[in-house]
Amino acid sequence: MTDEELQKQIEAGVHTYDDDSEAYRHVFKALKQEPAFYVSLPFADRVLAKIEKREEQRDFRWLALGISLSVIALIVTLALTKAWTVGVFSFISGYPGLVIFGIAFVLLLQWVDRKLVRKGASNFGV
Amino acid sequence: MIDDKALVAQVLSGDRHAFRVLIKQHERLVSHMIGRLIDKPEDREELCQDVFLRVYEKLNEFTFQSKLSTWIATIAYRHGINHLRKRKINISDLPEDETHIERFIAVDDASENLAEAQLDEIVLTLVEKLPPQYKTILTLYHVQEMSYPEIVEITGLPEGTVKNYLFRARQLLKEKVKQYLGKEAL
Repeated sequence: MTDEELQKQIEAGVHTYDDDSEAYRHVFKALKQEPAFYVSLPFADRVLAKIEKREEQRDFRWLALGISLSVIALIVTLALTKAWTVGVFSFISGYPGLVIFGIAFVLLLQWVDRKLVRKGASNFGV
Repeated sequence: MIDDKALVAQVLSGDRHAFRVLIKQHERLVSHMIGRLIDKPEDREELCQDVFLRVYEKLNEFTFQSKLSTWIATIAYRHGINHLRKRKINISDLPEDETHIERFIAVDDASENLAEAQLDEIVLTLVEKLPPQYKTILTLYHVQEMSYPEIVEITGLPEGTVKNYLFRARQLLKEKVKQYLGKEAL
């Protein structure tokens, strides 16, 4: 009997008693066993936490894009209407270094918050 | 148990609990596939997580042309194979040369009285030595009890190749087991 026929017989549950059949019987029985690896107990929680983190990052990117576009729109409007000579804008235009420092400081604080504070919190499972 | 269509609809409506249920229903399938494909234990859990992240991202593209489990298994398989390709591991075939097959079949220092459980362990250790596609097909067919069309869909291999890999893998394992049984009978 060929190996192909033997394999079909074993699958069909037909038992013959020779060395090949006996060996195949052991092989088929062992192959039914599940692999030893299994995911950890909090696996689903970890996947859901990653999804939340990704969605947060996506929200943050949209927020950053919105703020950037608003700032660009403001600058373009000011440039077109020459409104920086009026009221509060005339004050701001007198201290460009201070304005740039202010924006850079706020962005730096946001970066530190994301990189250090939140990362530290997530390491403690918060 | 919620059916696939209702479960997918709930997940797509933003129900996180429904996605947890989906993970619980399929984590065994994904862990079996990744567990068989990937040798490094430290990579396995991470890859299983990535599979479910991909499922979450792509779920709106699932059109119910197949079972949800088949679709998830396809993602797991592709993810595992891509990971192996990045590490330049041969995924496809057993070397045809006789020496490789002889080395595979050659008997190690086996103890003479092998218990059934030990023999199972030996077979499973040998399975680990097979190329990834062989391991995947053996797992899907024997552990997950999937049909040939389902395995074809998951692996993207022709049905003839799937049957051939399954046949050759079992034949090699049989030769090895026969040698162990022969030793036992001495």
